Amino acid sequence: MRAYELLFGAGGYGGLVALLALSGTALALSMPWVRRVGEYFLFPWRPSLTPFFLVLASVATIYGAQRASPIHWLPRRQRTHLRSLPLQVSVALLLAAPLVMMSTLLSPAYPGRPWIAWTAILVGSIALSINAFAVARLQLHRGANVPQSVAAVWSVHTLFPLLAYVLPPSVQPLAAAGPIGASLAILRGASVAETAVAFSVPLLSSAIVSFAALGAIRKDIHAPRA
Amino acid sequence: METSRPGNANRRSVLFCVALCALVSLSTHAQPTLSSSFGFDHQFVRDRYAPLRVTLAGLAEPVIGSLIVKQYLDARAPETRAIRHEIARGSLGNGSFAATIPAHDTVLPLLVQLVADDGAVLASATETTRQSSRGLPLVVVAGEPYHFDGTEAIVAVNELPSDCWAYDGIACVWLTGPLTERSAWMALGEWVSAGGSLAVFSGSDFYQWDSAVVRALLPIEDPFVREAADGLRTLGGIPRSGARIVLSRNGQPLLLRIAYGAGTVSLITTRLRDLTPAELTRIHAYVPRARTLISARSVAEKLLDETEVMRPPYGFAPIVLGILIAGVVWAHRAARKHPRSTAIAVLIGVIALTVACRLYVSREKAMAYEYRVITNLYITTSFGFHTVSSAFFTLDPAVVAIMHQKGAFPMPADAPTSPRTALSLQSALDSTTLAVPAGTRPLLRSYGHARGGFTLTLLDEGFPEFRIDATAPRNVTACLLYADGLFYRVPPSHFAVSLRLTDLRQVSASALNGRETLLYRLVADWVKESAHWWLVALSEDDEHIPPTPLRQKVRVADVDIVAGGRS
Repeated sequence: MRAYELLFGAGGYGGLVALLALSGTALALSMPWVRRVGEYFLFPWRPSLTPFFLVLASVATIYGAQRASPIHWLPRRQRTHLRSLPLQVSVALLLAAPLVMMSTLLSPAYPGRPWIAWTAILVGSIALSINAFAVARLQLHRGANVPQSVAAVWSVHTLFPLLAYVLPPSVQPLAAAGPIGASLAILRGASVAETAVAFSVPLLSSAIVSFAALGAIRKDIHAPRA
Repeated sequence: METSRPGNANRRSVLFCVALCALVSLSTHAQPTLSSSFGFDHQFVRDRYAPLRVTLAGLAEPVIGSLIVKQYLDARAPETRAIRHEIARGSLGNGSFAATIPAHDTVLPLLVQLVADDGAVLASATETTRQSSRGLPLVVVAGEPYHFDGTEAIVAVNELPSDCWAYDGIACVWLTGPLTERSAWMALGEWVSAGGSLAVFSGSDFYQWDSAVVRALLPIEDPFVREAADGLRTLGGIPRSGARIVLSRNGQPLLLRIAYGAGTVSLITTRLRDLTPAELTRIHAYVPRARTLISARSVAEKLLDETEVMRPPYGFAPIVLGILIAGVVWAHRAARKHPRSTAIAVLIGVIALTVACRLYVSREKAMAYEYRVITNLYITTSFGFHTVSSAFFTLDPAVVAIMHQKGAFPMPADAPTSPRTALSLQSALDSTTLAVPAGTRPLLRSYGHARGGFTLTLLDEGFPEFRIDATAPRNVTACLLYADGLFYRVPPSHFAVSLRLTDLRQVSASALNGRETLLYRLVADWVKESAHWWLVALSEDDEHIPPTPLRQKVRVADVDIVAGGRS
């Protein structure tokens, strides 16, 4: 697969621009606009890292799901596509690295937290794209609607874990299983349980799903033609 | 005659020894007991300071620990929302401990505990304060009792506190008995300087409590006891400049009044018991009530509001964003023809931009989340009154520590409207921590014993020449001199040299600049009643950023209000 197609093909160009524009705008708006302390009481807007990382996590996961959805019928192309997903998502989030570096200005006491949150978003987005790819591939074989199933995977992956916030405090660390919950928890100062959930759940799920998907693709490649 | 047998004597001796041992063991296992008294005559004004006296008894030997006073702000969650003051620490033995603490919510009783260093509570006492709380300042009669309307507090002179801020909720102190304690006189003098009202009753008993400290406060010079025609002994003397004879009896002054700092001192030239009820009623009508103690609150709020926010420049984020999007657009076009070199260029460009951002970030451009302004106000007369106004603002919830003089606990300057809006304070002897909610601007006040950093020396009897000195180098941003009913602007270059009023420029209230207006408002209400010359100066420290995990900005300012004194 050529570099151009990898990054910019099938809506990738728009996705990258959208990722940068939306998260960069959120960061610019997160910066304080007041000159003196008294003006904080005139403007309700408070500087915070949260909006930037909410937007970054949301758009990065959408980008990851979007990169997974154009499934080709040929198994060999599917294998190449699956193997390229981590690289595609990594490039997108690497482009956002200067923005993350800037965001550390808003967290002078804990400059490492934005980078950990960025890493969690990266891992979560890669896992999402792999899971979305596996589901999309199954749906393709069934002849079902691929974009809808990818949207459902995105919802389950990013929004469903947030329901843990309405549950008792003992199970709330499960919210970190999704990239949004993970980044919020890390910015707040995640507990050991939250950090473990934030990284282990996407890593394990993506590892299991990618091995399963690669095995299925291999079977398809070596299967006798009808 | 029957003689006692030796066996009985032995038995008695054994019984005596057992009883003695039991007594000794009882004393070593005696339980310590605590008792407390809060307020003046068990009365205090809510959300003002009040004196507290704790008596510890029953200890066989001193214990290492602390005396803790707890006030609960919320009956629904008493332990999580409490104000805790440590009033004594170290080796504590039987005796009396005095402190001055803020009086907060009075629905729940005050809890006093003797706590050992290992956290064990050795003794505990509760003080029910619900019936003792008053809504308005009250009159304290110290010494011989006198009842006006049943709202006054009657105390013994030796119960008068030695912290001037203990009189925070007091309308007037009637001193009707001889007070000899110097620390109590100093506290009264500091309180009067800051706006208090003291009425001293003295006649034949004057020499029992005469001292230099007392004479500094009185509205007469060279006081002496004289015998009137009716045989009554009264206090006489030469009225000071600015003193007014308010009431007379038989042609002699009965009530003299003088403005002292922001407050007033009234002298009744005879003892309380020598006055008729009609005279006392008239005196009561003419003794003024105390002002709210002078504070630097307005200065602290102004300085906090005008403090520059530390933040990244506005344009930084849009510039980086523009570079990134331009790079993606360029890569989109270039990648068709030169995919490999474009990929390498994008990679290098992103890394370079990230490094550039890192270098920029390291140049002290980061956000400050916490701002605090500490404003000291000193009134220097013959006494030294010191109050601190601390203003805070944080963007994130923060735990803030305030250092203060030993036992000078801070309290919110604004009376809380509900338990939910009250701040939880945890005070050790010389520091207090409080949780500041995000986006709020809490303001605290505390008091202490200290003198300011300026002197105003009147060099001649007629005051044509004077000299202003600062005890340490200061960044003076505004300085006014009040003399003979007029305000003059004093440039810092005029310090430490002999001056005449003609060397200074007179300013009207409308011609004052922002800083000078702040100073003018602090003194305008009372300074014209005073016969003194006054120097009012504002010194501001450079804003600094302490090396704390939560990046913060601190400003310190001093307001000095100094009465002129002769060299």
